Amino acid sequence: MTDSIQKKLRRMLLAISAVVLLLAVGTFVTYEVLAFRKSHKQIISTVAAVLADNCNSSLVFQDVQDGERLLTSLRTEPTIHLAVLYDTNRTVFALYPTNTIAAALPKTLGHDRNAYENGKLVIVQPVRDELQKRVGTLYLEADLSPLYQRLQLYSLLVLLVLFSSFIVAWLLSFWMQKRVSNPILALAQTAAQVTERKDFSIRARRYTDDEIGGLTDAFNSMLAEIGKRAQALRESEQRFRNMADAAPVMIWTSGPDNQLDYLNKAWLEFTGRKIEQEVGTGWAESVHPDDVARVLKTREKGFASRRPFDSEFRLRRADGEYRVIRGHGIPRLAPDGSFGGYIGTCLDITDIRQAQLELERRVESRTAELAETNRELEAFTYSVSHDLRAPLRHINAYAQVLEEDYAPKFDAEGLKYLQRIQEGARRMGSLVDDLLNLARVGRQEIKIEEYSLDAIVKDVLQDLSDDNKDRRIEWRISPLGSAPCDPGLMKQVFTNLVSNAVKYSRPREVAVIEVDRKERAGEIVYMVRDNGVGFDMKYVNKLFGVFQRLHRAEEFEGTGVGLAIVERIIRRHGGRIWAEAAPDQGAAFYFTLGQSARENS
Amino acid sequence: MLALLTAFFLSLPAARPAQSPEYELKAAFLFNFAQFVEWPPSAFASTNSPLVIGLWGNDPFGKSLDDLVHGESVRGHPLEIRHVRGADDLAGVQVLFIARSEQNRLPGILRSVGKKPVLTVSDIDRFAERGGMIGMVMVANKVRFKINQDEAKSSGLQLNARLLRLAEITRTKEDRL
Repeated sequence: MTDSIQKKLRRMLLAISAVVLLLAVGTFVTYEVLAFRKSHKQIISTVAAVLADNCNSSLVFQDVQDGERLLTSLRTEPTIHLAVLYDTNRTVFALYPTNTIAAALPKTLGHDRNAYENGKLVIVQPVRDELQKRVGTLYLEADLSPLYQRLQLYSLLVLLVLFSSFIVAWLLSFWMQKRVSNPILALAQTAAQVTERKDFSIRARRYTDDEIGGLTDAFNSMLAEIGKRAQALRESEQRFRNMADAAPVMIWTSGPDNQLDYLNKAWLEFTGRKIEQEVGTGWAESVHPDDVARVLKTREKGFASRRPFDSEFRLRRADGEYRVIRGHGIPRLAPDGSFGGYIGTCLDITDIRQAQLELERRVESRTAELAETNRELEAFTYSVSHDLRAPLRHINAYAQVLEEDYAPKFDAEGLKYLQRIQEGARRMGSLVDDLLNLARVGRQEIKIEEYSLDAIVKDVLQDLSDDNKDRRIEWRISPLGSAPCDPGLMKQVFTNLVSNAVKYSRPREVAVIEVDRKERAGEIVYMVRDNGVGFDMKYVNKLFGVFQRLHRAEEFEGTGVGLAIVERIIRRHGGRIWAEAAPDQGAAFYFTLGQSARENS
Repeated sequence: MLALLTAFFLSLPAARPAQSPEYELKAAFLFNFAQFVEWPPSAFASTNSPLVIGLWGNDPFGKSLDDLVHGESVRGHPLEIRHVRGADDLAGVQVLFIARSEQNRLPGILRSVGKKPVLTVSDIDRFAERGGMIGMVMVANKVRFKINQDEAKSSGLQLNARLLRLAEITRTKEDRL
C-alpha cells in the first residue's frame, strides 16, 4: 500500500511526460519528413531542370566530355548518387559518377517524372534543344541520407529528453509524494493504528489545506465522535451493569435462542455458582427436579409466542435449601426492532409467602374473635334495650295512671314532677328505640336494588313538611337520579340528614336546604346542605359517634344516635360520609355509595 | 542486272557528289548552330521571314542538309538553303557556309560579307583565326569547332553560352589578305 500510491504517481508522471514528448516528437518528425521530402524534391528537380537545359548542347554537338563535365557538377549536391544522360536513342551518353558499373543503371527509364520510389528520389527529365525538340533524357537518383541523419540526431535528442524527463518525473514524484501521498499515507497509518489498538484518542496529523486536509479533519472529528460514543456506551453499559448488580432481585437476559447470556450478581450470589456455569441452560441445574420440566415448558411457550411469562418454582440456594422463586420474563427488542430475546427477574418469595400465610391466619382468627365480640355486644345491646323497655312501659303506664286517677291529689309541684317523670321516660324510650334501631341497622341484611333517590327524597320531604308547617324553608332540590341501594335504609339516611338540616336551621328566619349531587374524581357525591348554626370543624371526628352531641339538648333536641346510624348505613353500602361546616355558617354533609354499590349498577 | 543497277544509280540525284559521314555530321552542326545564335531583328525582313543558310562554293553536304532543313524553322523563321555565287546573293542570308573550294578566295568573300549580321561557318583550315566566325575542325575523328567571338560580336550576333562552352575560343590572328 505504501508503494502503490507513490508508484502510481511516478508511473503517471512518466507516462504523461513520455506521451507528451512522443506526441510532440511524432508531430515534429512527421512534419520534418514531409517538409524535407518536399523541399528536397524541389531542389533536386530544379537542379535536374537546370542541368537538362545546360546539357542540351552537349547532346546536340555530341560532346561526351562536356556532358560528363556537366554531370560532375552534381558533386555539390551530395544526395545525388547517380546521374545518366541518354541520347534520343536512349543509349547512355554520359554518366555520373563516371565509374558507375552497368548493373547500377536503371533497367528501364519509364516515363518522365519526379517521384520518391523505394526510399529514393527518381527524376526522369527530358533534355530539349533550343527549339524545344527532345534531344535526350536526364536520369537522376537522389537518396534521403541527410533526412536519415537528421532523424538519427532527432531520435538521439528524443532519447536524451526522454531520459532527462524521466529523471525530472522521478524527482517530481518524490516532491508530489511529500505533497500528496504523505498526508494520505499518514491518514492511512492513523486509521490502521486506530483499528489495531482500538484507541480513538489517536489523531491524524493535518499536512495540507486541500481535500486531503479536509479528509483528515473529517476523519479526526469522526474519531472524536466515535470515541465519545464508545465512552458513552461504556459508561452506559457500566451504569446498567451496576444497576443490575445492585438490584436485590435476580436479573437475567437471553438471546432469541432461549439461551441465557447474562445473570446479575444477585443471581450468582443466590446460587453460589459462576456465570460460566449458569449461562445457556446451566441455570436449570439448580431448579428443583420436580419443577424443571414445567419451568422449561413455560419458557418455551413464552419464547414461541414472544409474550411475557410468569412462573413459580423452587431454586436451590447456595446453602442447599430450596427457595420459592417467582420468575417473570418479558420479550425485549433488538435496536432494529426485531425480537432480541428476553429479560427476566426472579424474586425469592419464600419469606413473603410465609409472612402472608401467617398474616392471613392471624387476620382470620382476629376476625373470628371480633365477630364473636361484636355479636355478643349487639346481642347485649339488643337485649338490654329490649329489657329496658319493659320497666319503661311500667313507668309510663303507672305515670299515666297517676296523672289520670290521682291528678287532683297532687299539688302543682307534684304534677310538675310527674310530668318530668313522664318526659324522662319518653326520652329514655326514644333513646332505647334509637339504640335498637342502630343495632338493627348493624345486624340487618341489606338488599341492594336500583332505586330512584328522587322518589326517596320526595317521600322524606312529604313527611317532614307536615311537621314544619310553621317554618319558612326554601328547598333547593336537584334531581339525584337512581342508584343501587337498599331503599329502606337510604330513606333513613335522607330522613336523618334532612331533619338535622331542618333542626339546626331553626334559628334562621328563612332556612335554605339544598339536596344535590356532583361528580368528583369519577365518583358520584351526594350532598345535603343547610344555612343553619353549623359547627366547629375541630369536633368533626366526634360527629358520627354514638351519643355524641355538639349542641346542648336544651337547645336542639335529639339522642345523638342519628348520624351514627347514617354513617353505619353508608358504610354498609361501601361508601364514605364526611362533613364540612363552620360555626354559624351552615353545614354540608357529603356521602358516596361506594364501589360495590356502583359496580352493581 | 547491270541494267537494274544502272537504273538504281540513275534514280539518285546525279547533280550531287557522294556524301561522307563527316559531312553528314557537319550538316547537322551547321543546322544546330542556327539555334544557338541570336540575330539582331534587322537581320530579318519580318518575324516570320525565312532564315536562309547560304552555301558558297561546291556544296559538300548534298542531300543530307536538305533533309535536315526540310520543314524546320528557328524561332518562327522557316529554314531555307540558298546557293550563293557572289556577293550579290548575300542579301537575306543569315548563315553562310563557305566550302573548302573557296579556300583561296576566302579573304574576298569575308570582305564582301563585311559587318552584315551573317554567321560565317567553314571547315577551311584556320578559318576562325582568319576572320571567320565558326571554324569546324576534326579532332580524333570528331567534329569540333573554334569560335571567333570578336567577329560575331562586331557583326551584332549573340552566341549562346552553351555553344561557346563547347568551342575553342580564338581571335583573328592574320591579316585577311
